[in-house]
Amino acid sequence: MKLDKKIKDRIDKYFNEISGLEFVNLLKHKYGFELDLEVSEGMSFVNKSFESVEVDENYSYDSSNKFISNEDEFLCHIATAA
Amino acid sequence: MGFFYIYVMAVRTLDGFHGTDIRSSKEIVRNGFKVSKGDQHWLGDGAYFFVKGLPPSPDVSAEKWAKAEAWNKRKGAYSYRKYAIIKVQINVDEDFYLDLNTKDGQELFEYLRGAFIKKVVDEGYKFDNWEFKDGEIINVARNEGIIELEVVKGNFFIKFATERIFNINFRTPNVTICAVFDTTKNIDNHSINVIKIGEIEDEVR
Repeated sequence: MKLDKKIKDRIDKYFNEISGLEFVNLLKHKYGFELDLEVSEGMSFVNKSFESVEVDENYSYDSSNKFISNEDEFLCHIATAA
Repeated sequence: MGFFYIYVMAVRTLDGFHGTDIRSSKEIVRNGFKVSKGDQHWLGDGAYFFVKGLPPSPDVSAEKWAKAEAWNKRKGAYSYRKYAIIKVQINVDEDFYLDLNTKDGQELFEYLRGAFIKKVVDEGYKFDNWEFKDGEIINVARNEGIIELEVVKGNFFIKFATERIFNINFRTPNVTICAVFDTTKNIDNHSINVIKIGEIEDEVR
C-alpha cells in the first residue's frame, strides 16, 4: 500500500469536506480524544482590534501608567509581560 | 471477439505468532480471534501478532509477551502460569496492507497524520496529553472510511518482563508486530495452531 493518487485524493477529500469543528467533535465524542482549545495567556488580546482591548491587571504598562495610544507600543508591552 | 479483464490480486501472507494464557488459547482455537479494543494499542483496535522482522524470532517474542502479561502488577501475583503460543497465517490484499517499515508505508502514514493534525490545530485545538496517537489515527482512518486498511505492520519497543520489572524504556524498537482488524477475513481459521505450551516458573520480582 502506498500513497498513490487515489489514496491521496481520498484523504484530501475527507479532510476538505469535514469542517474543523465537526472533526474535533467526532474525535472527542466518538473516539474519546482529549482535546482542549489552544489559548495562550494574553494571546487573545493580540488578535483583537486595539479599540476593543480591555486592560488586564496581568499586563503592565510603563512605569508612569500612561495610557498607551499606539498599538505597536501596546503589543510590545504585551510581549514583555509574557 | 470480446475482451475480459482479469484482476490478479496480490496477496501478502504473513506468519503471525500470538502469546496468551492457555485458557484463552483454547477459546481462540475453537472460535477464532477477537479484536482488542481501546487500551492504547500500538496500531489501533485489532488482533495483534508478532511477525518476522526485528530479532528475536516472532515465536520467541510471543512467548516473552505471554510470560510478561501473566504478571498482575496490581495484585502482585500471576494471573496465570500456563501459557500457549499460537501460530496463524495472515492473508491480506496488498492494497489493504500498510507496512510502516517501508518508505511507501511511512509516506502514506505521514500524509494521513499531517492532515489529521492540521485539521485539529487549524480549529484551534491541542491534544490534552502525551499519549501515543498512532493507533487512534488508524482507528479513525479505518472507521471513517478515509482509507481501507486490513492489516498494518510496524516496529515498536515493547516492554516484556525484564523491562517492566526494572523500568527499562527505549525508543529503538525491539519487535515487529502486526494488527489484523477483521480476523474473520484475514486469518485462515484452519491455520490457527498451538505450537507451544509452557509453564511460568517463579521469578525474582
